[in-house]
Amino acid sequence: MNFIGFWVVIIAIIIALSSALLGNILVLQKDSMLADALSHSVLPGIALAFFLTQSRTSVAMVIGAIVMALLTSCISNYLSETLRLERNSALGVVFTGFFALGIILITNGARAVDLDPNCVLFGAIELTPLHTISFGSMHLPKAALSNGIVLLVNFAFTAIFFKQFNIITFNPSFAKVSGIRVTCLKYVHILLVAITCVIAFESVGSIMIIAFLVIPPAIAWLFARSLKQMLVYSSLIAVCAVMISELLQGMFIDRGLPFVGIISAVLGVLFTTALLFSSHGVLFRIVRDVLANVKTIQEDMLKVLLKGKVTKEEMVHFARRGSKQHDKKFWSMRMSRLWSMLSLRLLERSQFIVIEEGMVCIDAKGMQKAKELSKKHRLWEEFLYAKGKFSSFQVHRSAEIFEHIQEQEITTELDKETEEEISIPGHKH
Amino acid sequence: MNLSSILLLKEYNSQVVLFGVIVYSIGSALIGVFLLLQKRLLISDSISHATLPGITIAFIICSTFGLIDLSRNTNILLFGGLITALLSVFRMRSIKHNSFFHNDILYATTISVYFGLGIALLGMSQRFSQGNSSGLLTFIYGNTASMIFSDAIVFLVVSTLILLFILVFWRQLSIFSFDPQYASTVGMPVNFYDSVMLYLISIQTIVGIQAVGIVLVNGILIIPPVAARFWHSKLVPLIIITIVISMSSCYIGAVLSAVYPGIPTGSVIITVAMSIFLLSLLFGSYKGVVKTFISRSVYARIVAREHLLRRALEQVEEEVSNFLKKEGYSSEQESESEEYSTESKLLTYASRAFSISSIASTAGLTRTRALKECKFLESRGYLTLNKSNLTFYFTKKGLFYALSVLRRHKLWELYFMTYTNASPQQIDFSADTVEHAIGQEASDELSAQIKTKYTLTRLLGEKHH
Repeated sequence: MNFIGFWVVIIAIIIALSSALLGNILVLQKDSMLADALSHSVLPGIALAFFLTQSRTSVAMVIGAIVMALLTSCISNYLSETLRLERNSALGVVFTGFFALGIILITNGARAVDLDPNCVLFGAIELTPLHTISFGSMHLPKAALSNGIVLLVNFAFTAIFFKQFNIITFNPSFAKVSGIRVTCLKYVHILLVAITCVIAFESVGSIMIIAFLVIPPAIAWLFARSLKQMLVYSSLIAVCAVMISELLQGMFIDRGLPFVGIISAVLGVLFTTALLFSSHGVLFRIVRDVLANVKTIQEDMLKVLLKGKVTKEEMVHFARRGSKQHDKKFWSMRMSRLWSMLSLRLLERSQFIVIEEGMVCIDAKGMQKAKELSKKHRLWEEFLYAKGKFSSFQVHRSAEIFEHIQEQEITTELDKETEEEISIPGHKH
Repeated sequence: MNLSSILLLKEYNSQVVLFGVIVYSIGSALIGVFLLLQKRLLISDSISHATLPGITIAFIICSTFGLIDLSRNTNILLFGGLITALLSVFRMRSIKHNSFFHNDILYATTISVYFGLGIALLGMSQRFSQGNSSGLLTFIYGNTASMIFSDAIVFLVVSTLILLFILVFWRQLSIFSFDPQYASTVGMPVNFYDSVMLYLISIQTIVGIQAVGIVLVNGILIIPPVAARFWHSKLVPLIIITIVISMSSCYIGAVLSAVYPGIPTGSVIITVAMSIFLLSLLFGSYKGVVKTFISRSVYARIVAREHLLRRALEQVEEEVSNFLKKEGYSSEQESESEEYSTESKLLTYASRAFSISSIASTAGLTRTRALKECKFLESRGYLTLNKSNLTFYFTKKGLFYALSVLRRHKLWELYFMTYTNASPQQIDFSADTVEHAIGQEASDELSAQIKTKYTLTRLLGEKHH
């Protein structure tokens, strides 16, 4: 890898890490759109800095942008905290207004100079290694240095105030009561987000920084069980995303794809994949629901068979009706016939039932299981009547649902709870 | 150019722009109010960013195969943009239903992913195609001043669609906006309204994106409803105020940009809307800053005054109860008929001089503040002030006022004692803050509730046992 390619990746990783660290808290506090607001509203700051200093030095522009970013966060905080405006609306008003102002300033001054708003949008990470600072024989890109300092500050901030943020994100009112300076910490955090964004704009552009701030923490949230895990996971994901994009760019090098665009596309793909495959994810949930549904249908079938033989068609019809009642998701509504047939087949295979000439009979093993089930049903009814203060007419329907709970422990406990026989008046079995 | 021709926009071009922008802003205002109430105004921002990849893909396809002359007909690009915008809406809705993520994460991920993808494709298209793609971003930023009459007609159609949708489903939409959970429990097709609304926003965004520009598309949807929120809290007035605000900012913006032709019209309109927002923020009649400040300081003065009077009366009250004890009364013996006699004793005791500084210190006020409030009370005839040694006497009117405050305080104390398990310290403290907020009605209700158990005179004795 050559000098430029190496430093591009290093700078991207530095930015990804420093924004992922701050992004966790942002995401947990439902404030992700702050990143978007900041990226829009720095525009007038940059333009004003240019008009005031009449130079294109990045220091003036960075200062202008930071001032604007702070102004945005302060105004939106005032609107949302003191005036009780909804947080996202407050942000929206502030940044659309500032963005329009920025456009006016830029188009007014554009005849004198070329101040390109697109530069803020995309950044120029491919060019960043060209501006270097020398330390003796070492040539260090400026962007790596500035972003590195930001990363260190962010890391120190997160490490020092980890305990406080742990409490604040979990329960803000408790944090306030136990003497943590919630508002103060929040403002420091927002200040750091603003500085991180502005420093990174030069290299990766505003869109990229939103992706870095929000997506790795959002993915980490799907898997993590604590703030510490979330911080670690999101950092790993951010680094991985940069690496994958580097590999992809190697493949499409002559296609002219900007690195920034590839990274956000990769992050988007990672986000979607994580949504599909995490334990909160869509696929997992579908599988879990279908399994539960099939299990329920099987148990219902056995209970029907306890009363006598039934034809196969009747059985399937009955099971479909039950399945639709139990689970109103589309995959159980549309495919109820499939699930019913599947349950019938499963019951036959595990030798609970015998199917002869279209008639379904219950087997000895199935009989035992069905008896267990109706005992469970009875237990639930008794429990609901005695402890739950249900009326004798309600208990049957609720027990119909509860009896399908699979945990053995609950059944044992139920057995203990309802040791003496309770007779439910007006209730027939 | 004279003033009237500027103000009335005699030029055909600016008339078209004004007409189009106003029609567009009405559509946005109608939908924006509902979005504000549903707390998801920023969805328009993510939808407008999501159009970029579609526009770029359409551009790449068209210029590679040479299907349509893009310099003449840009509708195909907009169609591509509409497709990705709808995709993003679909994606956000499905993520919302299948995960615990809040809206802000959905918007932020949509913006970054779709726009990033768009940028990547844009970079690709510059290598790929013979056509000139550098204008694509300018295309997204749009140009309000170049609007033509057919654009305005399209706006009219879309805004009418939005209006029809809102009129037809008025009741359902308002219930859905205020309480989505309730709407779904009473069996409304919530998903249907939600998706139709989001599709309408997508269409509104896409028709506006080139003709009025992305800045105006987002700004006119977001700013006016929020500004209107400072003027009213009810739905119909909210919509009317929003429409008025967006129309007036469009008009002022159009006039300003006719005067200064170099500046982009869309940005000017948004800046005007922003100024209107600031004015509403300050002077809004519902929860504007000035109004809130005034009502708060008025309330603070009332509290200070009432504290002053009550503390003064409480000094005498102690003496009264001591006197009663000396005379051999105990609180058990007192019956309701004796309430009057206690009050009359209080009256005789209260006709003496009270030192302002000692009362100010017990009421937690500074001396100057206390003196200021005393002067005010004197001007209303509640007190007579002796300025030489800083003391005051109650007038009859003032004494009754003080008695009513004391009565409210006691009522609250009693209420807390009867109905909560609060400790005595807490009771006095809570009553201190609540007593000022009770009106006559609440006070009557309280006394009716409590009268069956206790009497006021009993309480007067009981406190000091």
